[in-house]
Amino acid sequence: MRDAREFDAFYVASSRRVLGQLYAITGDRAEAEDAVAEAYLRAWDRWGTVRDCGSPEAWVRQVAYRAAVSSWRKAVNRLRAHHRDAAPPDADGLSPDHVALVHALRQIPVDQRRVIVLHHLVGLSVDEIAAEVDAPAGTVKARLARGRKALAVHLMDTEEYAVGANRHG
Amino acid sequence: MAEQNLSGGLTALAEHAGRTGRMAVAADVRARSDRRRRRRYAASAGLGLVVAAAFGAGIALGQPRAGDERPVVPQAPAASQLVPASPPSPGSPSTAVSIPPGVPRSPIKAPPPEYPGATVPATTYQAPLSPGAPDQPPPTLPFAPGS
Repeated sequence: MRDAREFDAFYVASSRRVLGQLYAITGDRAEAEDAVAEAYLRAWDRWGTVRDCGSPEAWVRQVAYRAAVSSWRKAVNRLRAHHRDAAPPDADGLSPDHVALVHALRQIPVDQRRVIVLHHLVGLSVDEIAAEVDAPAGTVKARLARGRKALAVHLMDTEEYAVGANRHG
Repeated sequence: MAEQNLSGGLTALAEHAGRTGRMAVAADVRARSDRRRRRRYAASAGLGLVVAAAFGAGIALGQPRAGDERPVVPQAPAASQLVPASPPSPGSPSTAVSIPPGVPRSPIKAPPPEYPGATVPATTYQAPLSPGAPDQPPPTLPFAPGS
């Protein structure tokens, strides 16, 4: 029962935060919800190990990311055509800036998206990111730089598109 | 968008997703995980039983049955070839018959292991060796002692 109380407290404190982080990485809320749920299921299955590791939240985030990537691999061919022309499915309640940010995040590779989220949203340092993504620090820096640059280009395009639409509209 | 704007935008986006996302309560998560664990254990136990049954069936099928053909034992040479000297005289039926009643006789010895080229002493009993029945008892004597 002590384990259950510990897990419940950990879940209540961290699940929403991890869900937001996974949503920023995946760009799909349903996908993020499934991945986070799967990660917490596995966390409770191995709670004795997860509790004693350095950061249970980082463990859950990593497992959720892998689950999301795995489901992407399974479904990428099936959903590619659907996502090509469809509007963002879960933009309800988001401001136009956030919609533009989600759209821009979806345009960059997932590796760059992940390090951007870990650095700018989670607040990890380059070394911490390198440990979490299991890549050299130089690779993390390069992904950060390329991701920021690509994100800026996509956001600029979106703003220009929005400004142009307003002028013509 | 500057770095600060990027961080702020990401934070707002994540908070929005965290607020509006559907997450199960912790008890449901634990219950689902426990159910999955039980199913995994049951599947592992079933798989172990199947493997053990297959292993046992393989061993049982590999064993020779009782009526199966036994391995061929090299046939011993005939007694006439083994005892070239002192052939029995034509008048006496056999060495066993020549023993008078009341004289203690030496116990019947089992035939020695059959090695190629080995010879058997003439005083030992020569069992009728055959590949099909190596464990047959020695034949009964023509008459019981004292009769």
